[in-house]
Amino acid sequence: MNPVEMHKVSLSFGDVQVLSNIDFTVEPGDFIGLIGPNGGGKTVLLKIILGLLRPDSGTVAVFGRAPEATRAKGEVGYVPQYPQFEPDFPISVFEVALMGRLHCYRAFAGYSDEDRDITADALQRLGMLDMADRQIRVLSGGQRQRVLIARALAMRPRLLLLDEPTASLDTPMGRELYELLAELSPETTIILVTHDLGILARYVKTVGCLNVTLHYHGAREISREVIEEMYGCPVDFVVHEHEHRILKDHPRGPGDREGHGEGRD
Amino acid sequence: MFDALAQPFFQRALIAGLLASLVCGIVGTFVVVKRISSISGGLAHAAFGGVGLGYVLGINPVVGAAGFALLTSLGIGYAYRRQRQSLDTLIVVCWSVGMALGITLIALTPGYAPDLMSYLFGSILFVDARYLMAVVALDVVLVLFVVAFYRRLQAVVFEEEFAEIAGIGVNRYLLMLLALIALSTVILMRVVGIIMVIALLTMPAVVARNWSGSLVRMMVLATLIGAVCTTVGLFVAWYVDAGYGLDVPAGPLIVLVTALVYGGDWLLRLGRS
Repeated sequence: MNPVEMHKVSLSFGDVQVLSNIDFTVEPGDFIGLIGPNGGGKTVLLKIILGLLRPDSGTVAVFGRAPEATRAKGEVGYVPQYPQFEPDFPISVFEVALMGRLHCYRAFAGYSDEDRDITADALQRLGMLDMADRQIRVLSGGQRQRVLIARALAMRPRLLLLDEPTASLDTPMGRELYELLAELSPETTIILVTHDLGILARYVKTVGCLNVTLHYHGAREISREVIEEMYGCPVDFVVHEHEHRILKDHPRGPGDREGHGEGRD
Repeated sequence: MFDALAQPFFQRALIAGLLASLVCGIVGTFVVVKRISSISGGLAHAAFGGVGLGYVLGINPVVGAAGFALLTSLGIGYAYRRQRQSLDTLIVVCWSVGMALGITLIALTPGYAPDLMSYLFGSILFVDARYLMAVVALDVVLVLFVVAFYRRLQAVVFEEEFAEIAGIGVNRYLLMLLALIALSTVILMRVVGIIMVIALLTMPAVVARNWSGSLVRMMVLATLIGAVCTTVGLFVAWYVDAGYGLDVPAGPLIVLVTALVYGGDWLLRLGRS
Protein backbone atom coordinates (compact mmCIF):
# COMPACT_ATOMS: atom_id res chain seq x y z
CA MET A 1 0.00 0.00 0.00
CA ASN A 2 1.60 3.25 -1.09
CA PRO A 3 1.68 5.99 1.55
CA VAL A 4 0.45 8.59 -0.93
CA GLU A 5 -1.28 8.25 -4.29
CA MET A 6 -2.37 11.48 -5.93
CA HIS A 7 -3.97 11.56 -9.30
CA LYS A 8 -4.68 14.70 -11.34
CA VAL A 9 -4.99 16.87 -8.24
CA SER A 10 -5.74 20.56 -8.83
CA LEU A 11 -6.56 23.34 -6.40
CA SER A 12 -7.10 27.09 -6.78
CA PHE A 13 -7.67 29.78 -4.19
CA GLY A 14 -9.97 32.18 -6.01
CA ASP A 15 -8.28 33.02 -9.30
CA VAL A 16 -4.90 31.72 -8.24
CA GLN A 17 -4.04 28.23 -9.38
CA VAL A 18 -1.99 26.72 -6.55
CA LEU A 19 -1.66 23.15 -7.75
CA SER A 20 -2.26 21.92 -11.27
CA ASN A 21 -2.74 18.35 -12.33
CA ILE A 22 -0.47 16.79 -9.74
CA ASP A 23 0.31 13.10 -10.08
CA PHE A 24 2.33 12.00 -7.09
CA THR A 25 3.05 8.51 -5.89
CA VAL A 26 5.09 8.03 -2.74
CA GLU A 27 6.48 4.56 -2.25
CA PRO A 28 6.92 2.99 1.17
CA GLY A 29 10.26 3.80 2.76
CA ASP A 30 10.98 6.76 0.54
CA PHE A 31 12.64 9.89 1.87
CA ILE A 32 11.57 12.70 -0.44
CA GLY A 33 13.04 16.17 -0.47
CA LEU A 34 10.50 18.59 -1.89
CA ILE A 35 11.81 21.91 -3.13
CA GLY A 36 10.24 24.81 -4.96
CA PRO A 37 9.82 28.56 -4.76
CA ASN A 38 7.67 30.31 -2.16
CA GLY A 39 4.03 30.16 -3.14
CA GLY A 40 4.75 27.08 -5.22
CA GLY A 41 2.22 25.04 -3.27
CA LYS A 42 4.50 22.89 -1.10
CA THR A 43 2.61 23.52 2.14
CA VAL A 44 -0.71 23.15 0.32
CA LEU A 45 0.39 19.78 -1.02
CA LEU A 46 1.20 18.61 2.53
CA LYS A 47 -2.14 19.90 3.79
CA ILE A 48 -3.96 17.95 1.09
CA ILE A 49 -2.17 14.78 2.19
CA LEU A 50 -3.21 15.58 5.76
CA GLY A 51 -6.81 16.13 4.68
CA LEU A 52 -6.76 19.71 5.98
CA LEU A 53 -7.46 20.99 2.46
CA ARG A 54 -9.57 19.35 -0.20
CA PRO A 55 -8.53 19.56 -3.84
CA ASP A 56 -10.95 21.01 -6.38
CA SER A 57 -10.46 17.95 -8.54
CA GLY A 58 -8.46 14.75 -8.61
CA THR A 59 -8.13 11.90 -6.15
CA VAL A 60 -5.97 11.49 -3.06
CA ALA A 61 -5.36 8.28 -1.17
CA VAL A 62 -3.19 7.98 1.94
CA PHE A 63 -2.38 4.35 2.73
CA GLY A 64 -5.20 3.47 0.38
CA ARG A 65 -7.85 5.52 2.16
CA ALA A 66 -9.22 9.06 2.14
CA PRO A 67 -6.82 11.37 4.00
CA GLU A 68 -9.40 12.06 6.76
CA ALA A 69 -9.74 8.33 7.43
CA THR A 70 -6.09 7.89 8.39
CA ARG A 71 -6.17 10.54 11.11
CA ALA A 72 -7.75 8.61 13.91
CA LYS A 73 -4.94 6.04 13.61
CA GLY A 74 -2.17 8.60 13.98
CA GLU A 75 -0.48 7.27 10.85
CA VAL A 76 0.54 10.64 9.44
CA GLY A 77 2.78 12.93 11.46
CA TYR A 78 3.22 16.61 10.65
CA VAL A 79 5.63 19.33 11.67
CA PRO A 80 4.28 22.73 10.60
CA GLN A 81 6.51 25.48 9.31
CA TYR A 82 5.26 27.93 11.92
CA PRO A 83 3.77 27.04 15.30
CA GLN A 84 0.09 27.99 15.32
CA PHE A 85 -0.35 28.25 19.08
CA GLU A 86 -0.41 31.26 21.39
CA PRO A 87 3.02 31.63 22.98
CA ASP A 88 1.58 32.37 26.45
CA PHE A 89 -0.49 29.18 26.61
CA PRO A 90 -0.03 27.50 30.02
CA ILE A 91 1.34 24.10 29.06
CA SER A 92 4.52 22.13 29.65
CA VAL A 93 6.89 20.76 27.03
CA PHE A 94 5.87 17.22 27.95
CA GLU A 95 2.16 17.96 27.59
CA VAL A 96 2.71 19.35 24.10
CA ALA A 97 4.72 16.34 22.99
CA LEU A 98 2.15 14.04 24.59
CA MET A 99 -0.41 15.37 22.09
CA GLY A 100 1.33 13.10 19.60
CA ARG A 101 -0.42 10.23 21.41
CA LEU A 102 -3.93 11.70 21.09
CA HIS A 103 -5.04 8.88 18.81
CA CYS A 104 -4.53 6.51 21.77
CA TYR A 105 -6.23 8.77 24.32
CA ARG A 106 -9.49 7.50 25.75
CA ALA A 107 -12.13 9.68 27.39
CA PHE A 108 -11.96 9.46 31.22
CA ALA A 109 -9.14 6.85 31.07
CA GLY A 110 -6.51 9.23 29.72
CA TYR A 111 -3.08 8.14 28.50
CA SER A 112 -1.30 4.89 29.22
CA ASP A 113 2.22 4.55 30.63
CA GLU A 114 3.30 3.38 27.20
CA ASP A 115 2.09 6.69 25.71
CA ARG A 116 4.21 8.54 28.25
CA ASP A 117 7.26 6.38 27.57
CA ILE A 118 6.97 6.90 23.82
CA THR A 119 6.64 10.65 24.39
CA ALA A 120 9.69 10.74 26.68
CA ASP A 121 11.66 8.80 24.08
CA ALA A 122 10.69 11.28 21.37
CA LEU A 123 11.76 14.22 23.55
CA GLN A 124 15.01 12.43 24.32
CA ARG A 125 15.75 12.08 20.61
CA LEU A 126 15.34 15.83 20.17
CA GLY A 127 17.44 16.61 23.25
CA MET A 128 14.43 18.12 25.03
CA LEU A 129 13.78 15.57 27.77
CA ASP A 130 15.65 17.68 30.34
CA MET A 131 13.19 20.47 29.65
CA ALA A 132 10.07 18.28 29.80
CA ASP A 133 8.63 20.19 32.75
CA ARG A 134 9.40 23.64 31.40
CA GLN A 135 6.61 25.89 30.22
CA ILE A 136 6.41 26.26 26.46
CA ARG A 137 6.33 30.07 26.91
CA VAL A 138 9.90 30.21 28.24
CA LEU A 139 11.41 28.33 25.29
CA SER A 140 13.28 29.85 22.38
CA GLY A 141 11.93 29.52 18.85
CA GLY A 142 14.31 26.67 18.02
CA GLN A 143 13.42 24.79 21.20
CA ARG A 144 9.72 25.14 20.41
CA GLN A 145 10.36 23.72 16.98
CA ARG A 146 12.13 20.75 18.52
CA VAL A 147 9.12 20.11 20.76
CA LEU A 148 6.84 20.11 17.72
CA ILE A 149 9.15 17.64 15.97
CA ALA A 150 9.11 15.47 19.09
CA ARG A 151 5.31 15.62 19.09
CA ALA A 152 5.24 14.39 15.49
CA LEU A 153 7.69 11.57 16.33
CA ALA A 154 5.61 10.60 19.39
CA MET A 155 2.83 9.70 16.99
CA ARG A 156 5.12 6.92 15.68
CA PRO A 157 3.77 7.77 12.24
CA ARG A 158 4.16 5.60 9.16
CA LEU A 159 4.35 8.78 7.08
CA LEU A 160 6.05 11.90 8.38
CA LEU A 161 5.59 15.29 6.74
CA LEU A 162 7.91 18.15 7.65
CA ASP A 163 7.47 21.69 6.37
CA GLU A 164 10.83 23.50 6.48
CA PRO A 165 11.60 22.13 9.94
CA THR A 166 15.08 23.63 10.08
CA ALA A 167 13.95 27.23 9.48
CA SER A 168 14.35 28.17 13.14
CA LEU A 169 17.09 25.69 14.04
CA ASP A 170 20.77 26.52 14.18
CA THR A 171 23.11 24.65 11.83
CA PRO A 172 24.28 21.88 14.21
CA MET A 173 20.71 21.23 15.34
CA GLY A 174 19.55 21.22 11.74
CA ARG A 175 22.17 18.62 10.87
CA GLU A 176 21.18 16.52 13.89
CA LEU A 177 17.61 16.62 12.71
CA TYR A 178 18.60 15.32 9.30
CA GLU A 179 20.64 12.54 10.92
CA LEU A 180 17.59 11.68 13.00
CA LEU A 181 15.35 11.57 9.94
CA ALA A 182 17.87 9.36 8.19
CA GLU A 183 17.65 6.98 11.18
CA LEU A 184 13.86 6.90 11.00
CA SER A 185 14.05 6.08 7.32
CA PRO A 186 13.10 3.68 5.78
CA GLU A 187 10.66 2.40 8.47
CA THR A 188 9.05 5.81 8.31
CA THR A 189 8.28 7.29 4.93
CA ILE A 190 9.30 10.94 4.95
CA ILE A 191 8.38 13.97 2.86
CA LEU A 192 10.55 16.95 3.71
CA VAL A 193 9.85 20.42 2.35
CA THR A 194 13.03 22.46 2.38
CA HIS A 195 15.07 25.18 0.74
CA ASP A 196 18.29 23.72 1.98
CA LEU A 197 19.45 22.01 -1.22
CA GLY A 198 22.98 21.34 -0.09
CA ILE A 199 22.20 19.43 3.05
CA LEU A 200 19.19 17.87 1.43
CA ALA A 201 21.31 16.07 -1.12
CA ARG A 202 23.19 14.25 1.57
CA TYR A 203 20.20 12.54 3.16
CA VAL A 204 17.17 12.23 0.90
CA LYS A 205 16.49 9.36 -1.45
CA THR A 206 14.50 11.22 -4.06
CA VAL A 207 13.88 14.83 -4.96
CA GLY A 208 10.78 16.57 -6.25
CA CYS A 209 10.37 20.13 -7.38
CA LEU A 210 7.00 21.85 -7.05
CA ASN A 211 5.81 25.10 -8.52
CA VAL A 212 2.11 24.66 -9.25
CA THR A 213 3.12 21.61 -11.30
CA LEU A 214 5.23 18.84 -9.88
CA HIS A 215 8.44 17.39 -11.25
CA TYR A 216 8.91 14.11 -9.51
CA HIS A 217 10.11 10.90 -11.03
CA GLY A 218 11.16 8.94 -7.98
CA ALA A 219 14.77 9.77 -8.71
CA ARG A 220 17.45 11.54 -6.75
CA GLU A 221 18.67 13.68 -9.60
CA ILE A 222 16.86 16.58 -11.03
CA SER A 223 18.29 18.67 -13.80
CA ARG A 224 19.34 22.25 -13.33
CA GLU A 225 17.06 23.18 -16.23
CA VAL A 226 14.04 21.78 -14.43
CA ILE A 227 14.86 23.62 -11.23
CA GLU A 228 15.56 26.89 -13.01
CA GLU A 229 12.36 26.51 -14.95
CA MET A 230 10.44 25.90 -11.73
CA TYR A 231 11.98 28.81 -9.90
CA GLY A 232 11.66 30.97 -12.98
CA CYS A 233 15.19 32.32 -12.71
CA PRO A 234 18.75 31.13 -12.48
CA VAL A 235 19.39 29.43 -9.15
CA ASP A 236 22.56 29.57 -7.11
CA PHE A 237 23.40 26.18 -5.75
CA VAL A 238 25.54 25.59 -2.81
CA VAL A 239 28.82 24.43 -4.18
CA HIS A 240 29.26 21.43 -2.06
CA GLU A 241 30.85 18.07 -2.24
CA HIS A 242 27.43 16.51 -2.44
CA GLU A 243 26.07 18.76 -5.09
CA HIS A 244 26.50 16.23 -7.83
CA ARG A 245 24.06 13.99 -6.06
CA ILE A 246 21.20 16.36 -6.64
CA LEU A 247 22.24 17.96 -9.92
CA LYS A 248 22.44 15.57 -12.78
CA ASP A 249 24.45 17.87 -15.02
CA HIS A 250 25.95 20.70 -13.11
CA PRO A 251 28.55 22.57 -15.11
CA ARG A 252 32.07 22.83 -13.80
CA GLY A 253 34.34 25.66 -14.64
CA PRO A 254 34.49 29.42 -14.56
CA GLY A 255 30.73 29.73 -14.82
CA ASP A 256 30.28 28.07 -11.44
CA ARG A 257 29.16 30.38 -8.70
CA GLU A 258 30.59 29.80 -5.31
CA GLY A 259 29.46 30.55 -1.81
CA HIS A 260 26.47 29.78 0.29
CA GLY A 261 23.15 30.32 -1.29
CA GLU A 262 20.01 28.44 -1.83
CA GLY A 263 17.03 28.36 -4.10
CA ARG A 264 16.21 31.93 -4.91
CA ASP A 265 12.57 32.88 -5.23
CA MET B 1 -20.44 40.36 59.07
CA PHE B 2 -22.57 37.92 61.04
CA ASP B 3 -25.73 39.96 60.61
CA ALA B 4 -25.23 39.67 56.86
CA LEU B 5 -24.69 35.93 57.11
CA ALA B 6 -27.85 35.55 59.15
CA GLN B 7 -29.99 36.73 56.23
CA PRO B 8 -31.29 33.88 54.06
CA PHE B 9 -31.20 36.03 50.89
CA PHE B 10 -27.57 36.90 51.57
CA GLN B 11 -26.70 33.25 52.16
CA ARG B 12 -28.30 32.35 48.85
CA ALA B 13 -26.39 35.13 47.10
CA LEU B 14 -23.14 33.96 48.64
CA ILE B 15 -23.74 30.36 47.56
CA ALA B 16 -24.78 31.53 44.09
CA GLY B 17 -21.56 33.52 43.81
CA LEU B 18 -19.40 30.58 44.84
CA LEU B 19 -21.18 28.19 42.47
CA ALA B 20 -20.94 30.70 39.63
CA SER B 21 -17.20 31.07 40.26
CA LEU B 22 -16.67 27.54 39.01
CA VAL B 23 -18.37 28.57 35.77
CA CYS B 24 -16.03 31.59 35.53
CA GLY B 25 -13.03 29.39 36.27
CA ILE B 26 -13.68 26.63 33.76
CA VAL B 27 -15.35 28.51 30.92
CA GLY B 28 -13.24 31.64 31.47
CA THR B 29 -10.05 29.58 31.08
CA PHE B 30 -11.17 28.38 27.64
CA VAL B 31 -12.31 31.88 26.66
CA VAL B 32 -8.95 33.38 27.61
CA VAL B 33 -6.54 30.80 26.17
CA LYS B 34 -8.56 30.51 22.96
CA ARG B 35 -8.83 34.32 22.71
CA ILE B 36 -12.55 34.28 22.09
CA SER B 37 -13.64 36.93 24.58
CA SER B 38 -15.32 38.93 21.81
CA ILE B 39 -17.29 35.82 20.78
CA SER B 40 -18.35 35.37 24.39
CA GLY B 41 -19.36 39.01 24.70
CA GLY B 42 -21.39 38.69 21.51
CA LEU B 43 -23.17 35.60 22.83
CA ALA B 44 -24.01 37.32 26.12
CA HIS B 45 -25.49 40.35 24.42
CA ALA B 46 -27.35 38.27 21.85
CA ALA B 47 -28.99 36.53 24.79
CA PHE B 48 -30.78 39.78 25.58
CA GLY B 49 -32.82 39.33 22.40
CA GLY B 50 -34.06 36.10 23.98
CA VAL B 51 -34.96 37.95 27.18
CA GLY B 52 -37.17 40.28 25.11
CA LEU B 53 -38.70 37.34 23.28
CA GLY B 54 -39.48 35.73 26.64
CA TYR B 55 -41.37 38.85 27.74
CA VAL B 56 -43.39 39.05 24.51
CA LEU B 57 -44.30 35.36 24.49
CA GLY B 58 -44.95 35.31 28.20
CA ILE B 59 -42.38 32.58 28.87
CA ASN B 60 -39.49 32.74 31.32
CA PRO B 61 -37.02 35.28 29.91
CA VAL B 62 -34.11 33.11 31.10
CA VAL B 63 -35.33 30.26 28.90
CA GLY B 64 -35.61 32.69 25.99
CA ALA B 65 -32.08 33.95 26.67
CA ALA B 66 -30.65 30.42 26.80
CA GLY B 67 -32.34 29.47 23.52
CA PHE B 68 -31.18 32.63 21.80
CA ALA B 69 -27.60 32.34 23.03
CA LEU B 70 -27.42 28.67 21.97
CA LEU B 71 -28.70 29.45 18.46
CA THR B 72 -26.24 32.30 18.16
CA SER B 73 -23.39 30.07 19.28
CA LEU B 74 -24.19 27.66 16.44
CA GLY B 75 -24.10 30.49 13.89
CA ILE B 76 -20.89 31.96 15.26
CA GLY B 77 -19.35 28.51 15.50
CA TYR B 78 -20.05 27.90 11.84
CA ALA B 79 -18.53 31.26 10.86
CA TYR B 80 -15.53 30.61 13.09
CA ARG B 81 -14.67 27.40 11.26
CA ARG B 82 -15.73 28.28 7.73
CA GLN B 83 -15.47 32.00 7.19
CA ARG B 84 -12.94 33.44 9.56
CA GLN B 85 -12.81 36.74 7.63
CA SER B 86 -16.44 37.62 8.35
CA LEU B 87 -16.39 36.46 11.97
CA ASP B 88 -15.51 39.83 13.46
CA THR B 89 -18.45 41.58 11.79
CA LEU B 90 -20.82 38.76 12.66
CA ILE B 91 -19.93 39.05 16.34
CA VAL B 92 -20.66 42.78 16.38
CA VAL B 93 -23.94 42.20 14.53
CA CYS B 94 -25.04 39.57 17.09
CA TRP B 95 -23.90 41.83 19.90
CA SER B 96 -25.86 44.94 18.86
CA VAL B 97 -28.85 43.31 17.17
CA GLY B 98 -29.39 41.14 20.25
CA MET B 99 -29.59 44.23 22.43
CA ALA B 100 -31.77 46.13 19.92
CA LEU B 101 -34.14 43.19 19.58
CA GLY B 102 -34.40 42.75 23.34
CA ILE B 103 -35.19 46.39 24.01
CA THR B 104 -37.68 46.59 21.11
CA LEU B 105 -39.52 43.43 22.15
CA ILE B 106 -39.71 44.55 25.77
CA ALA B 107 -41.10 47.93 24.68
CA LEU B 108 -43.74 46.12 22.62
CA THR B 109 -44.78 44.04 25.61
CA PRO B 110 -47.82 45.58 27.28
CA GLY B 111 -47.34 46.52 30.90
CA TYR B 112 -44.27 46.94 32.99
CA ALA B 113 -41.03 44.93 32.75
CA PRO B 114 -40.04 44.69 36.40
CA ASP B 115 -36.89 42.57 36.00
CA LEU B 116 -35.40 44.39 33.05
CA MET B 117 -32.61 46.02 35.04
CA SER B 118 -31.77 42.75 36.74
CA TYR B 119 -30.99 41.13 33.38
CA LEU B 120 -28.76 44.00 32.35
CA PHE B 121 -26.95 44.58 35.65
CA GLY B 122 -27.52 41.38 37.61
CA SER B 123 -29.56 40.64 40.72
CA ILE B 124 -27.55 38.16 42.71
CA LEU B 125 -29.16 39.31 45.97
CA PHE B 126 -32.54 38.10 44.72
CA VAL B 127 -31.76 34.62 43.42
CA ASP B 128 -34.07 31.77 44.35
CA ALA B 129 -33.48 28.07 44.99
CA ARG B 130 -34.35 27.21 41.40
CA TYR B 131 -31.51 29.39 40.18
CA LEU B 132 -29.08 27.66 42.55
CA MET B 133 -30.17 24.31 41.11
CA ALA B 134 -29.49 25.61 37.60
CA VAL B 135 -25.97 26.70 38.53
CA VAL B 136 -25.25 23.38 40.21
CA ALA B 137 -26.43 21.58 37.06
CA LEU B 138 -24.17 23.69 34.85
CA ASP B 139 -21.23 23.16 37.24
CA VAL B 140 -21.72 19.40 37.07
CA VAL B 141 -21.91 19.46 33.26
CA LEU B 142 -18.77 21.60 33.04
CA VAL B 143 -16.73 19.43 35.40
CA LEU B 144 -17.78 16.25 33.57
CA PHE B 145 -16.98 17.90 30.24
CA VAL B 146 -13.46 18.77 31.37
CA VAL B 147 -12.77 15.47 33.15
CA ALA B 148 -13.95 13.40 30.21
CA PHE B 149 -12.24 15.30 27.42
CA TYR B 150 -9.40 17.21 29.10
CA ARG B 151 -6.59 16.27 26.70
CA ARG B 152 -8.78 16.66 23.64
CA LEU B 153 -10.02 20.06 24.74
CA GLN B 154 -6.46 21.06 25.58
CA ALA B 155 -5.35 20.06 22.07
CA VAL B 156 -8.24 21.84 20.38
CA VAL B 157 -7.70 25.13 22.19
CA PHE B 158 -3.90 24.83 21.88
CA GLU B 159 -3.67 24.24 18.15
CA GLU B 160 -6.72 23.35 16.06
CA GLU B 161 -4.70 22.17 13.09
CA PHE B 162 -2.78 19.53 15.00
CA ALA B 163 -5.89 18.44 16.87
CA GLU B 164 -7.52 17.86 13.50
CA ILE B 165 -4.57 15.81 12.27
CA ALA B 166 -4.63 13.75 15.46
CA GLY B 167 -8.16 12.68 14.57
CA ILE B 168 -10.10 14.88 17.01
CA GLY B 169 -13.41 16.16 15.66
CA VAL B 170 -12.44 19.78 16.19
CA ASN B 171 -15.82 21.09 15.00
CA ARG B 172 -17.67 19.01 17.55
CA TYR B 173 -15.55 20.17 20.48
CA LEU B 174 -15.61 23.83 19.45
CA LEU B 175 -19.39 23.78 19.10
CA MET B 176 -19.78 22.11 22.50
CA LEU B 177 -17.47 24.72 23.96
CA LEU B 178 -19.41 27.62 22.39
CA ALA B 179 -22.71 26.14 23.56
CA LEU B 180 -21.36 25.90 27.11
CA ILE B 181 -20.12 29.49 26.89
CA ALA B 182 -23.63 30.51 25.78
CA LEU B 183 -25.25 28.72 28.74
CA SER B 184 -22.64 30.17 31.09
CA THR B 185 -23.35 33.73 30.02
CA VAL B 186 -27.05 33.14 30.75
CA ILE B 187 -26.21 31.78 34.21
CA LEU B 188 -23.74 34.58 34.98
CA MET B 189 -26.33 37.10 33.76
CA ARG B 190 -28.02 36.73 37.16
CA VAL B 191 -24.79 37.53 38.97
CA VAL B 192 -23.41 40.58 37.16
CA GLY B 193 -25.84 41.17 34.28
CA ILE B 194 -25.47 40.77 30.53
CA ILE B 195 -23.39 43.88 30.12
CA MET B 196 -20.72 42.75 32.57
CA VAL B 197 -20.69 38.98 32.05
CA ILE B 198 -17.59 39.16 29.92
CA ALA B 199 -15.66 40.69 32.85
CA LEU B 200 -16.18 37.55 34.93
CA LEU B 201 -15.30 35.33 32.00
CA THR B 202 -11.98 37.05 31.34
CA MET B 203 -10.36 38.83 34.27
CA PRO B 204 -10.11 35.96 36.79
CA ALA B 205 -8.79 33.63 34.08
CA VAL B 206 -6.27 36.14 32.77
CA VAL B 207 -4.86 36.63 36.28
CA ALA B 208 -4.86 32.85 36.78
CA ARG B 209 -2.97 32.26 33.53
CA ASN B 210 -0.08 34.36 34.79
CA TRP B 211 0.36 32.03 37.75
CA SER B 212 -0.48 28.64 36.25
CA GLY B 213 1.45 26.05 34.33
CA SER B 214 -1.48 24.04 33.00
CA LEU B 215 -5.09 24.49 31.98
CA VAL B 216 -6.43 22.61 34.97
CA ARG B 217 -4.42 24.67 37.45
CA MET B 218 -5.58 27.80 35.64
CA MET B 219 -9.19 26.64 36.05
CA VAL B 220 -8.76 26.03 39.77
CA LEU B 221 -7.03 29.35 40.37
CA ALA B 222 -9.54 31.31 38.27
CA THR B 223 -12.36 29.67 40.25
CA LEU B 224 -10.74 30.72 43.54
CA ILE B 225 -10.21 34.28 42.29
CA GLY B 226 -13.83 34.42 41.11
CA ALA B 227 -15.01 33.09 44.49
CA VAL B 228 -13.04 35.71 46.41
CA CYS B 229 -14.20 38.54 44.15
CA THR B 230 -17.91 37.65 44.26
CA THR B 231 -17.77 37.19 48.02
CA VAL B 232 -15.96 40.47 48.64
CA GLY B 233 -18.29 42.28 46.21
CA LEU B 234 -21.34 40.97 48.05
CA PHE B 235 -20.03 42.06 51.45
CA VAL B 236 -19.15 45.49 50.10
CA ALA B 237 -22.71 45.81 48.77
CA TRP B 238 -24.07 44.79 52.19
CA TYR B 239 -21.97 47.28 54.13
CA VAL B 240 -22.57 50.15 51.75
CA ASP B 241 -26.26 49.50 52.25
CA ALA B 242 -26.19 48.85 56.00
CA GLY B 243 -23.69 51.59 56.82
CA TYR B 244 -24.63 54.38 54.46
CA GLY B 245 -28.09 53.43 53.28
CA LEU B 246 -26.84 53.39 49.68
CA ASP B 247 -28.42 50.78 47.46
CA VAL B 248 -25.57 49.87 45.08
CA PRO B 249 -26.20 46.71 43.05
CA ALA B 250 -23.82 43.88 43.91
CA GLY B 251 -23.03 43.00 40.27
CA PRO B 252 -21.03 46.14 39.41
CA LEU B 253 -19.24 45.94 42.77
CA ILE B 254 -18.18 42.35 42.03
CA VAL B 255 -16.82 43.49 38.65
CA LEU B 256 -14.94 46.38 40.30
CA VAL B 257 -13.40 44.08 42.91
CA THR B 258 -12.33 41.72 40.08
CA ALA B 259 -10.81 44.68 38.26
CA LEU B 260 -8.82 45.54 41.41
CA VAL B 261 -7.41 42.00 41.50
CA TYR B 262 -6.62 42.25 37.80
CA GLY B 263 -4.83 45.57 38.30
CA GLY B 264 -3.03 44.29 41.40
CA ASP B 265 -1.74 41.29 39.49
CA TRP B 266 -0.50 43.58 36.75
CA LEU B 267 1.38 45.78 39.25
CA LEU B 268 2.80 42.73 41.01
CA ARG B 269 4.22 41.32 37.79
CA LEU B 270 5.47 44.74 36.76
CA GLY B 271 7.35 44.95 40.06
CA ARG B 272 8.90 41.52 39.57
CA SER B 273 10.21 42.02 36.07
